[in-house]
Amino acid sequence: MNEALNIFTRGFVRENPVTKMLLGLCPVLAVTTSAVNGLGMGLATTFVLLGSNVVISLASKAIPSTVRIPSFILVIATFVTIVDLLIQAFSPELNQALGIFIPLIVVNCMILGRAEAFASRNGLWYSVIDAIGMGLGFTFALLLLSALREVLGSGTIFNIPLVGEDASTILVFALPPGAFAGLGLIIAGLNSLEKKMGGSK
Amino acid sequence: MRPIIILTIVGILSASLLAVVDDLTREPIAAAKEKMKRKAIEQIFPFPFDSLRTVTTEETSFHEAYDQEGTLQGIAVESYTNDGYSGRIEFLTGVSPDNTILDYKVLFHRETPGLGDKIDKSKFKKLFKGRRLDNTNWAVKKDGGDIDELTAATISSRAVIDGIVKGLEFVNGQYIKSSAE
Repeated sequence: MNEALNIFTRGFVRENPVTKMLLGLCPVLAVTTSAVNGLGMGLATTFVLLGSNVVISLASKAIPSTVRIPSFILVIATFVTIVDLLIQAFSPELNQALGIFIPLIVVNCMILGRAEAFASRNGLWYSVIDAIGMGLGFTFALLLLSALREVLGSGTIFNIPLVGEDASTILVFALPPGAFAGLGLIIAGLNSLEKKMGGSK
Repeated sequence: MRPIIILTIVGILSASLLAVVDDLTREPIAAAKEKMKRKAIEQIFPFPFDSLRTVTTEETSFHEAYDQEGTLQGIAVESYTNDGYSGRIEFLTGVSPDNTILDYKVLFHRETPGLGDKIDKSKFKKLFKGRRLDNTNWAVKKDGGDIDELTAATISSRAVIDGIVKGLEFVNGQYIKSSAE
């Protein structure tokens, strides 16, 4: 049980894919213009990660190492397509907002990274824990960044206005440069927080 | 040989799974698209309507809204422009039967968040209400027209005018022609 907790917190905090490993930054920077987008992207990625980790941990022994990578990519692409179809069917608004970035989850290096580095070498149970830990860590980071950018850049949170429609906001946070600045601020904040609490580690 | 066989099996498995999911989601996706369009049409008409009839011509589609007695209440016309700051913008414009603008909605755009995307906010849309092709000088104020452009988004504002005017001309030309047939 301790090992499971260890795997979970590693994905969420110590090896957080966004704030520590800086993996999968393309969707992180591109879709985090509003909290709804960030949350949707994070959950979609978590679903794909969970599916691919489960399948790959079960099937890895049967897959010869020469065709390992193409097989993993096939599995991941299959789950991405399923998510894409489900979002189109049941949340067309989210589909409009995330657009091309859902199909692009296929090339999110975090997912292939977890398949290669973890799921193919561990059993089902730990792979599920790893997927949930990493997925929620990714979602959490996206939510943090997108909430920051939405509040500062558009003056709303989850599309609920915090200021009047005419109020001027810090526009740059809604634009691409704001994604880099916001991510930098969040990483700096988390690092200093960690340093302050660091003694226990 | 073994790698080839395994990779083939993986491929067949994932293809069959996708075929099943595609089959299950095909109808919900079509329904969701239809619902999005219907919702957009409901938003641009200030009155409740009873039924919709769609007339499609070569270049566009018209959605006619009828009340319970079957009287034509308004027409929603689809139009687009390629002159946006980031390319294509698609509009759905609601007009009354005498071709006066009631409201419009941006169906698709890639304008700059925070600047150009204000073309879909009510403050800018209000400037178009009650306008017709013949009672308005269709250009932004900067170009000597009647529409007050959005600050720092003149190109987007010009693009909206282009797209909306196209819609009005569709109603004047193709729609009247096709309903006379």
